[in-house]
Amino acid sequence: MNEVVIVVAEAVSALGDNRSETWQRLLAGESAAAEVTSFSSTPYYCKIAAEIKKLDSRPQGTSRLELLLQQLFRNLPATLPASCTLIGSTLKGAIDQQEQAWRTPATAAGNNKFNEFARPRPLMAAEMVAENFSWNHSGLLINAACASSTVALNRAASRIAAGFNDSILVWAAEIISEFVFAGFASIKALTPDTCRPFDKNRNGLMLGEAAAALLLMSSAKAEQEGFTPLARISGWGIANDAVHLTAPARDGRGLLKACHRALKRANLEADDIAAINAHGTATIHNDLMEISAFTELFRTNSTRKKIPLHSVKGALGHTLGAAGALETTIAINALSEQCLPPTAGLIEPEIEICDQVSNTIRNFSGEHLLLTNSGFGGVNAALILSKC
Amino acid sequence: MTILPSPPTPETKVLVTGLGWISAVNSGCGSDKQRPRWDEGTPTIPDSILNSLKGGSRFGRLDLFSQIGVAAVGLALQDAGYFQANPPAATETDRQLRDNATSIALISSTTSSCNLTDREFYKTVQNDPGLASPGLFVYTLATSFLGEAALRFSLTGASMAVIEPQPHAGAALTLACEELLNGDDKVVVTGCCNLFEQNSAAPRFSGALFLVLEKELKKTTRVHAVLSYDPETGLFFVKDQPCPDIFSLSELICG
Repeated sequence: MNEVVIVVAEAVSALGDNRSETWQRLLAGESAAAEVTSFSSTPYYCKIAAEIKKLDSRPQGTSRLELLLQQLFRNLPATLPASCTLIGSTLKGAIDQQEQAWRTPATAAGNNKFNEFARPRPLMAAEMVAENFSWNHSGLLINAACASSTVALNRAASRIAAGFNDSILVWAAEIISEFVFAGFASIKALTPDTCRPFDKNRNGLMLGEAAAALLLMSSAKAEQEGFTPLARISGWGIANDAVHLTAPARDGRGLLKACHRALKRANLEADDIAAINAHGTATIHNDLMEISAFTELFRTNSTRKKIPLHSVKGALGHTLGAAGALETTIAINALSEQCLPPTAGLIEPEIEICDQVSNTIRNFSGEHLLLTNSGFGGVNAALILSKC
Repeated sequence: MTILPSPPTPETKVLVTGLGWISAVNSGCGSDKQRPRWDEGTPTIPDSILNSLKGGSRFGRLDLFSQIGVAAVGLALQDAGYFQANPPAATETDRQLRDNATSIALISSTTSSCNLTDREFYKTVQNDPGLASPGLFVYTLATSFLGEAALRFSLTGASMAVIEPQPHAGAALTLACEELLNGDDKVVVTGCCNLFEQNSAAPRFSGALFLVLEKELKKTTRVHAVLSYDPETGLFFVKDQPCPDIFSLSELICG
């Protein structure tokens, strides 16, 4: 099997136009939480999100996603290896344009191109990415709910390891929209005040928007192309809870299985993991599920290894299908600098992990970082990043 | 999917052990004496099939996209012998599923995704944003039906959907074969699920078609066909004949 390395990692988030700025502001303990301005939040009990405010001032008829991707493209190399292919993820793509179309009477009556479903919104985003690199194929577009881009990275690593590809650009993008906001409000999953991952008093998630891209290569290809690897992807795993459509398994069985699969792939033991980038949405059930899974994963006989963990969602919001890719770009910095950013919003940690999660920077020492994401439909995905 | 002049090497073969489909014309599974047929119209799930599936009586809360997807997945699994149709009691199905220690993956392609449900949900947002329908929102993901299928049929392997421009399921078949060859799961349910608007200009047929693919022959397994897959090119063959899409593949299997 080929060794899989990440040679380019970039992100645009509500805390920065690039990975470096996002990282620095995360380290400073900042949060992008602010009142929603991209639509009226008046009808909703929640008024906040981690929006990228500059996307508000865009030309009429343009999607926020278009501007978001343009900013991401500015951070990426202008050209990529000819053998490179694309794997992307976005749950709803340019959903703001779709909303606009639905609000237009002609569209609602069924006399408009938007009703043909010839080009679903997520596919249009994939085409935009392909066009940017002058490619005629938009590649694979993967949907696995809020673990979408983690699964995309998973598949990309698997293809490169097996030798099917030597170079894959994994991209992900998600915007704030009333469609999604109203949906999460309807299931009472949004926090009315502050997003507090792993806090005893957490009361819901905060939505965010972001785009991220990672260029994965075999180590041989990276050397041939003259890239310096940022990190290795040494393990990956996916598993389903098969318990409930929207609620996670309380015992974290699916996440645990995904983590075991990633460890086995990496030929590592749980004790080899030095830090965790958790999903940490700050909903009551998600965070409890993760605590259960990690407690079990790192249990050694009667003791438990207390590994530092963090969540970025109190600072950057939950970016849904983009979460895994965004968090992987951050995890690269964490592994390199051997520290986890503060978990923004955290005041009083859940007792089981009170010595693992913090609202200040946590230093660690080790070669391997575990990153996990979970989503609706019981899907769980895990990645292990390793130092080069 | 492109067509190769000759079949790939035998090392890349996987077994098709189950097939199930729901269309606007007919519904069934691989062991039935009929072929899947596709035409315009809204797919419906016959009561006989609904009653044979675990939780069939509770399909009403699902959106139609999920209903046809879950039903086709269930038919394919029944066809592959992973659980019996019409079990004597619901608990018996649960026992059969629990006894299946096999970790089964679920990988679907879709072109329509859940767009019709998206629109229905957005209507509730337009009517009264503060009272948007949570019951519809949970089905506004291309993968919602995979979650429903996973919990009904105890599928604890990898699960994902691929959004593809044309409904041929090539991307899902490719990922499914890769999972069998290099992944963690040795059984994969794969196929496509689409629900297009009736008056859509695009000449595409709504419905769901799923296959059960396995890497190794088990003693109880009936094999419908051997699917050859070339990982280098992503091309498929059944009975040495190239398959441009999952529909022609199912024709060859049922033929």
